[in-house]
This record gives sequence, C-alpha cells and structure tokens, in this order.
Amino acid sequence: MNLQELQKSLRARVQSRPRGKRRGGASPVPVRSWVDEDRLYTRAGTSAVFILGTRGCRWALEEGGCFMCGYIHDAPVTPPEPRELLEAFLSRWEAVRGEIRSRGRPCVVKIYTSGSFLDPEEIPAEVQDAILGAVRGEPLVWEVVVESRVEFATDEALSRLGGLSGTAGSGTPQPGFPFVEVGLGVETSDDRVRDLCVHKGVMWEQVEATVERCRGAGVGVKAYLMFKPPLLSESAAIDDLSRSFVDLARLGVDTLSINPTSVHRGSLAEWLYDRKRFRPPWFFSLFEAIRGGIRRVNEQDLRLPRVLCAPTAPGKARGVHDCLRVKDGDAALSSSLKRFVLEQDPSHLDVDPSALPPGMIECHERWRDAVAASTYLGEDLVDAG
Amino acid sequence: METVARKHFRTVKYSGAARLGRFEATAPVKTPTLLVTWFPGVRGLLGTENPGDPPVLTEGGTTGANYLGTVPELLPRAVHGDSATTSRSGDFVYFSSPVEEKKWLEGRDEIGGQVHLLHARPVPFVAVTPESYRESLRALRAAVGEIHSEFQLGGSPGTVPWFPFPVAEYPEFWEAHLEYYGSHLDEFGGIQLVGARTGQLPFRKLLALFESIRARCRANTPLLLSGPVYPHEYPTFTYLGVDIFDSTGVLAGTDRGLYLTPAGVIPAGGLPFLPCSCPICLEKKVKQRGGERHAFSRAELLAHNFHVALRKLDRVRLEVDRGTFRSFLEAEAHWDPQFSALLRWADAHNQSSFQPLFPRAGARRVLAIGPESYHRPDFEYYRGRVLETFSPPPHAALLLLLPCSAKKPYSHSNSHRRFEGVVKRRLRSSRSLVQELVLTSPLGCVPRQLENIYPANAYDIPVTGEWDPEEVEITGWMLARLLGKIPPGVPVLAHLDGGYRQAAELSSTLSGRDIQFTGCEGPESSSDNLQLLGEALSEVNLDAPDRVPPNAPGTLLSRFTTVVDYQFGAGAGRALLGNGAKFQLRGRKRWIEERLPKGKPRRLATIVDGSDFIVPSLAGASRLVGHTRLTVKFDGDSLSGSTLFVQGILEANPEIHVGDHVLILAGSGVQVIGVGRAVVPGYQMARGGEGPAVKIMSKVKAGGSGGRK
Repeated sequence: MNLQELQKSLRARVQSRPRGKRRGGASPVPVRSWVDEDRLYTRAGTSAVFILGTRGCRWALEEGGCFMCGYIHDAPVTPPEPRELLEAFLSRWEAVRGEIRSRGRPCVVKIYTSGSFLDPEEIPAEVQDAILGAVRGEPLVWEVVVESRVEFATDEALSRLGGLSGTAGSGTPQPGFPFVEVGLGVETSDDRVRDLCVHKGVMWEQVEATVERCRGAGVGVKAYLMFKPPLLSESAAIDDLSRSFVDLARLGVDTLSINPTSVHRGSLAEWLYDRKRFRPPWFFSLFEAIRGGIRRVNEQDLRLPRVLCAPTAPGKARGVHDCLRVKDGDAALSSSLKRFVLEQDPSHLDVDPSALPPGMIECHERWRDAVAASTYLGEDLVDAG
Repeated sequence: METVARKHFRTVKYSGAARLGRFEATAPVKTPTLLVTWFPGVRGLLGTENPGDPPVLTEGGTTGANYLGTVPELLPRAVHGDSATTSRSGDFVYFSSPVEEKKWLEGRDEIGGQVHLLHARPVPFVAVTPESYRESLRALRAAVGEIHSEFQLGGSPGTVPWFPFPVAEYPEFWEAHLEYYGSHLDEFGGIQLVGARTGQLPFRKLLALFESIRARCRANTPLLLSGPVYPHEYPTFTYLGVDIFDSTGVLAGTDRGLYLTPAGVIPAGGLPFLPCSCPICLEKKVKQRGGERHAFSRAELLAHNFHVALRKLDRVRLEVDRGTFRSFLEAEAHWDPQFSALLRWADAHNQSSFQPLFPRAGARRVLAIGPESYHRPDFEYYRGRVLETFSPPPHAALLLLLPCSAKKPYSHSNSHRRFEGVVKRRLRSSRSLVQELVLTSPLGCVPRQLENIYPANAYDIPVTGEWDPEEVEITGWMLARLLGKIPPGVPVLAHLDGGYRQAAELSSTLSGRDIQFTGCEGPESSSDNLQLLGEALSEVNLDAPDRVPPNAPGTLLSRFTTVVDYQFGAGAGRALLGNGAKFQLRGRKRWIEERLPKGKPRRLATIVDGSDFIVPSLAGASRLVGHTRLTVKFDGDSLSGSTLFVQGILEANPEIHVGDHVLILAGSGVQVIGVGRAVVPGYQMARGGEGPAVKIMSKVKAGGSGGRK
C-alpha cells in the first residue's frame, strides 16, 4: 500500500466511526466564530475568526489529502446548502461586528473553511461574493484573510477578492477597502519535501505563478509553511524552514505563517506518531529555524515578510513541545513565541535556557543531542523525545 | 581508476561468525569497538569542544570527563560538521550536510594521514514508508556518486569513504542499494549501516540483511552499525558481523532515561540498588544514606551508560579472542526473546553462510548448555561432515555403541577405560575389528577414530541422564544414517541405557537395522553392567584374524585416515596415508611420516597439538591434490613472506572455513607451492580488496622446483 492509499484508509477509518464516538466530532453549527487579540500589519488589534462548515477540502475528499492534515474530519457529514451557509454567516457576522465595534480597534477578519474558500465547488462564487461584501462594509475591518489551495486562486477567483484591497502596511486603509490576503498552503519551497512529506499535489512553479497572479490582482499573499512535516528529521526540518524563508521572501509574499506540525486524528502523521516514527517538532528547533530563516533573509538583503506563528497544541505531546515533564517549560517558550509574533522582534527567540524554568537546561541539552543525532543518522531518535 | 591498497582493517580471528579485528586509527584499535560520535552531550562530558583536544580533567573528582577521558576505547572519535577541523589521522569525520562535506573535501589535502569519511545524508526523508525509503536510497546513491566523481574518492588511501546504508524494514529496496555497492567495491573502505536494530527490524529481516551484506562484501571490510543499539544487544550484532558500534545507543538510552546494564535496560528513575561499579555509581553508593533511592542527572547517566557500553565490548572482544563467543552468545540470547529467536532461526535456516565462519578447530572447551546449542553451526557441520566422510573400515566386524563421558577424549575417561578393559579381555586379538561408536548429545555420534577432534574433544554439557525429545531425535537420526553405512552382516551391539537407548531404538526403527542391547540398567560402567557387556561380547562370534589387518578400526592408520577424510574430504586419508605411514605420537611434537626405501623418512604431516587434526607438509599436500577441495589458487608461481593477501588470490574454494589448513596452488597449474591457514572464509577470498587471507605455514623455496621432496 502506498502512502496515499494508507492516508485514505486512515481517513475512512475515522469517518466510519459512529458520530457520537468521534472525539471532537464535527460541529453541527454551520459557522463558528470568535474574537481575539491579534497582530495586524502595522499594529496590534483584534481578530475575528470564522470557521465555515463547508463540505471540506477537495484534495482531501478526492485524493486523501495532505499527510499531516485531519481537518476533513471536522467537516459536517451533511454540509449546509449554500443559502443556509450564507444565512448562518450573516447572522454570526452581525454579532461579531457588534463585538468589533465595542472593542473599537482595527480588526483582521479571518474566514476559514476546512478547505479552500475560493473553491467554487466548496463555496459557490456568489456566496463568496456575498460574504466578502458583508465584511468589507465595516470600516474597522482593516484586513481580510481567506485560505485556498493554489489551484483555486485563479484570475477569476482573485478578481473577486482584488480590486477591493488596499496595500499591506500602508497605514489606515480606506473604509470599505481592507487589505485582502489569501493564505496559500505553500508548506515548503522544496518540491521533494512538499511532494513526499506533505503530499500537497502542488509544485513550486504553481506557487510562483499563483503569487504572481495575486500580485497582479492586488491581493496579498500569506504563505503557510509547514514546520517538520512527517518523514522529515528534526535537523532537516530546521534546514527546510530556513531555506523556505529565503525562497518565499524572494518571491515577495507578504506574510509567512509557520505551522509546526501537530498530530491530527486520522492522518498519516498520527499513524507514524503511534508507531513512534514521528515526533512533533521541538520549540527550540522552531526558534532556531525561524531565527535562521530571518538571518538568511537579512543576509541576502531581501524584504522580510511578516512572520506569524500560532501553533496548535503547543506544549502537548501531539503538538510542538520540548520536555513535557518540565513544569512551565513549554509555556515559557510559547509566550516568547507569542511576543515575537506580536512585536515582530526576533530577539524574543533568543532563548537562554538558564533563564527558563528549572530543568530546561537539561532539556536544552537533550534537544542539542537530538538534533545532532538526527543530522548524523538522517532520522530522529523518535522515542527519545 | 587506479586502486591504491588501503590497510585500515584486518581480521585477526573468528569465533563463530564473530570476529576480532584490528582497525588502524590514530592508534590501532581492536574491534568490535565503540565509535564515539561527537554529540554535544559527549562534548559536555569531556569538557571540550574539539575532538582533537584532550578532555578537561579536574582534580580528584569522578566527573564524566575524568572518567571518559581516560578510556582508550573512545578512539576513533567522530566529528560533527561544524567543527570538522581535526588533523589527526585515523579518525572518522561526518558532516551536517553535503555542502559541509564538500567544503571539507575541497580542503582535504591539508589533512595528513588517513581519515574515514561517513557521508552526510543529503536526503531529508525519514525512511518510514516504502516511498520515502526508496527516495532516500536513490538520492543518497546519486549524491554519493556525484561526490565520488567530483573528488575522485575511489581508491583514495587518504580519505576513505564508507558506504552509507540506511536500513528500513523494506527489504525490496536493499538489493538495488547493495548492487550499487557491489559495483563500486573499490571506492568504499567500509559499510555504515544506519538504523538497523532489533525491535524495528523483525529478526528474520535482520538476518536477511546481514546475509545479503555478507554475500556481497569483501573479506576485511569493516561494518559500522549506527543506531540505537544497547550494550546487551552487542553480542547479537557482533555475531551478525558488526565490527564497530557507535554511541547512538548510549545517547538514545540516556535520553529515554534508561540505566543500561550488560544484561538489559532498566528505567533509571529512583533505583534502590546499583549493580555497577563505574565511578559514577560507586560515588552514589558511597554517598547513599539509608534506603535512599538513586537519582541520576543526564550527564551522570550518560557517563554510566558509556561505561557499560565499553565494558560490554571488552567482554565481547575477550570471548572472541578466547574462541568461546558462540557459547557466550547462547547465554546472552536469553536477555531478549528476539535474540533467541534470531539465533534459532539462523541455526535453522542460515547454516550455509554461518558455517564457513566457524573454525573447524574451535576452542578447547565448548559449553553446550541448552537447546540453543543443539544446532550451532559447528555442531551441524560436524554431523554433516561425519555422515559425508566417515564409513567404517572394511574389516569392521562388530559395531559397538557406547555412551559418552564427561571427560574428553572419551578414551581417557574412567568409564571408557573400563569398557576397553572388558573388550580387551573378552575379544583379545579380534578386538581391533570392533568399530566403536559413541552416542552423545547434542553432537550425535562420534566414531572412536574421531574422538580427539573438535568438537568431539571439547564440548561440555550438563549431564542429568534425561534426554529431551529433540536430543533423542538428533542422535537417533544421525545413528540411523550411519547404520546405513554398516554392511548388513555386521552385528550392532549397544551398551546403552536411558536417553542413549531411546536414541538407539529410534535409529533402529528408522533404519530397519536390528540392534542388540546388552540390557544394562543404570550407569553403564557399573560392575554389573560391565558384566553384561562382557557376556554380550562373548556371544558375538568374531573370528580371530591371523594378523591384524593394517586398516582395522582399532589401528592408528584407521584413526588418522578417518581424521584426514574428515578434514580434507573423503578419500584424502587414503591418498595421504595409503602408502604406509608411521605415527610419532609421543612427546610434544607429533607427526606422521613415511618410510622411504633409503634415506631419512619423509614427513607427511604434523599433528596439531591438543587434537588429532593434521597440518600437511608440502610433500603431504602434494598427495592431497585432487582429493581435497581446500585449495586456493595463487596469482603466481612462488610465494614469499608469511601472509597471502586477498589481492593475490585467483580462486578459492567457498567451502573453506576460517582456520582451515589449505593447499596453496600455483596459478599456472595444480602444483602445491605452500600450505597455510585461512584467516577469512573461502567465499570472500577471491573478491578482491585488501588484507590478509591465508597465513602461510610452509612454502616451496623460491627457485626450487619442488621444494623438500
């Protein structure tokens, strides 16, 4: 059985479980949302996140999806009709808008699905338009983010987003013309890694072309980078992320969003994790990789994109973590990371283990040895983590 | 590409598939040994950043640096990419990336002496799925090929690249990788196996892996195992052919919080007792108050674990050196079901590749304690070889089956002296017509003529008198097949009881031959039972011969003809001794010579001390030509020096075991130009490469046409 078939069968296994027994389960609510503090381009502000309960990612539905991804299990078993979806969104939007206004600060609206916002089979074009139109009308909305696989970011789809957007970093946008950014799953700039470790089904050429199209359409690009996808050793992952920084900075993307791989249900990553053949990345590695990436970008005199990173399950066994047994160790690193993202100041990533909670010095030694071992062996000493 | 001989590794000794080697590093290192990989934790222990620097020692403490810094086995050391600045010869280097590796290679002229290069893994894929594994191997080969052609590494004596072989549980891709190795043999100085370990690889695959490697690699090719292998696993991997372990296992164990011991691993959290006397553990014991449990810091645990790994390798080397490795391994196999399974499986299915690695003349004393011993390759070889080469002399008129004795050779034991006494009294001059066969477990049957060769003169077993069904079967089957070689008219008398009797009865059933039992009960050498033996012998009507035939079973000629047949092949004994031989067996030097019509007698062979195995003289060897397969063909017509190297061998018989005495033939014909002892198995001799193959014991003097004829 090849990896793709394995991934498909793992998915099928989760899907076949009775609904009530699926941990987490799919939300019966067609649209979920929340408001939080966040970093905007030029300043700190609020963010409003919407999760649309669409049928899910076409790549996952048809080809088994990416190897670390389990979002498809969050998609409802019977997806809402487009009209239902739009109504649900609009009613949530009313509530959220109230919240945004009461906070009175500039806001970034993030509209996520478990797939691609721009995929017309997932969300019909007219529904996309209606959703964007509603959001755009609010003056406090400075930025809008949607996500899509690169193949759906066609000129036609982008034209629906673009022409409306302001320019990143240009200060206060004109009311009604927020800066629109499309999040593209680039994952890495190395085709071999993207193909073999992520199974993205996208080549670098396509990424380049899509970024070009986005710029032509006046739409910003937020590139998602996967940190340590399955099948990549710790040291190779550090190297991979740092290189990707340079390649994407050269391409001129606006934002880099780093996603340390966490272990999703029903994914190949989980299958490997269960067999002690995959360990989510270390925080120390993440810091080193980001620092290395920024250093390399600066060395080459490129413009550094905004760097975001909000890991899922930080400090948990299934998410980015160091030594789980050290009390507050991961929490300290997690908050350093948050500060870095909010202030965009890489010095927050220079961690001195002796300033961390007790036990982290030894943990840092373990990490150094783990990276050295993965360099030497070409793979991790997995259950050593 | 010109090949320059490299001489960094040679095999010193085999002990049942495990080998002792000599690795030429900064200082010569005896293998199996530990390669201390230059991980940050090790740097921390040694208190130094550069592997070339001496460790930082502090006054009077038992710090990791103090302890590890004084351990000579730490050489050779490996260095990590960023600090690969060592100028010491004989070290290993490895790099964090192919870029680093290239950078180093570009400047390598500045580095004197010999440096072993472990190729950086250019491929980021962890080989956990068939696709990622295949891609990893493919890309690795491409990268290695590119680096080798760019830097002309093939055959370079200064920089010796090792063949990288990441191992994953998909044997379908091993072959292609090894094929690459097979077609670039000259380029590599050794093989680095990465990731092979028990637990990950089921034992069958693990065996298959080492089988394929052995089938392709040359003699004197060192094998490095990189992977989380713990000290208690060292014996098993040594048996499979590993020469160098690296410290990955020590590191992995430490990070998993394991207290390594020679016999297995124990979680290190709060141990009440410490079964170790390394400086770290001693200090803890001295400082222990009351029943306090011991806690280890990471550095302490790492130092202790290094200690265990190093001491375990000392033990492994010692056992190989003493020739007792296999018995040691059988005991060690009990630490993990996987090891026992591997051993049993290898004995059941991989005899042909293991047997040539077992010297036919093994240790003086071999412990065969349990079922793991039943099918050890040297025992299996013995049984097969006896069945192949032994047949009773034509004058044998009675087959007498006797039980074995603890004392070896049997005839020196009290019980066998008594048996001999009875036979002598009852049969008088016809006693030399009796072919005696000793039944035993687990060897099977030992013809009296072969009682003083390995393993019959060396094995030692726990004797309870109870035989398990497998023992009965092994001996019963072997006896049945030997009975088939006894002419139908020759009576078979068995003075046996208990398990021996069961085995004999089984063989009677299997072969359809009648066996007459003396009816003894209890100890066969008790006076009552000896009485029974005497009576039974009297009842057998043996015609007393006028004079003892020269080749009767009880004669020296028969004894040594049988031994030479066993050693060199059926018919060899007759070829060597058929013209009449005189045996000089007294004193320290023992030999066989031939009386010539005039002049001094001619030496045919010397008898190796402690057993009946012979070493043919040049004259003797000439007689064996055409009657033995233990020959190697030398690329030339005369020998010089004391060692025949692999490079000089045109042809070698694959049946040659390590330690065998072989005939060295001139390349141009069938003329014997020397006699020597094989130090590597025959099947690896003719594959090219470097290093010694045969120790020359005697040779035709250069210029002479026939030597001492």
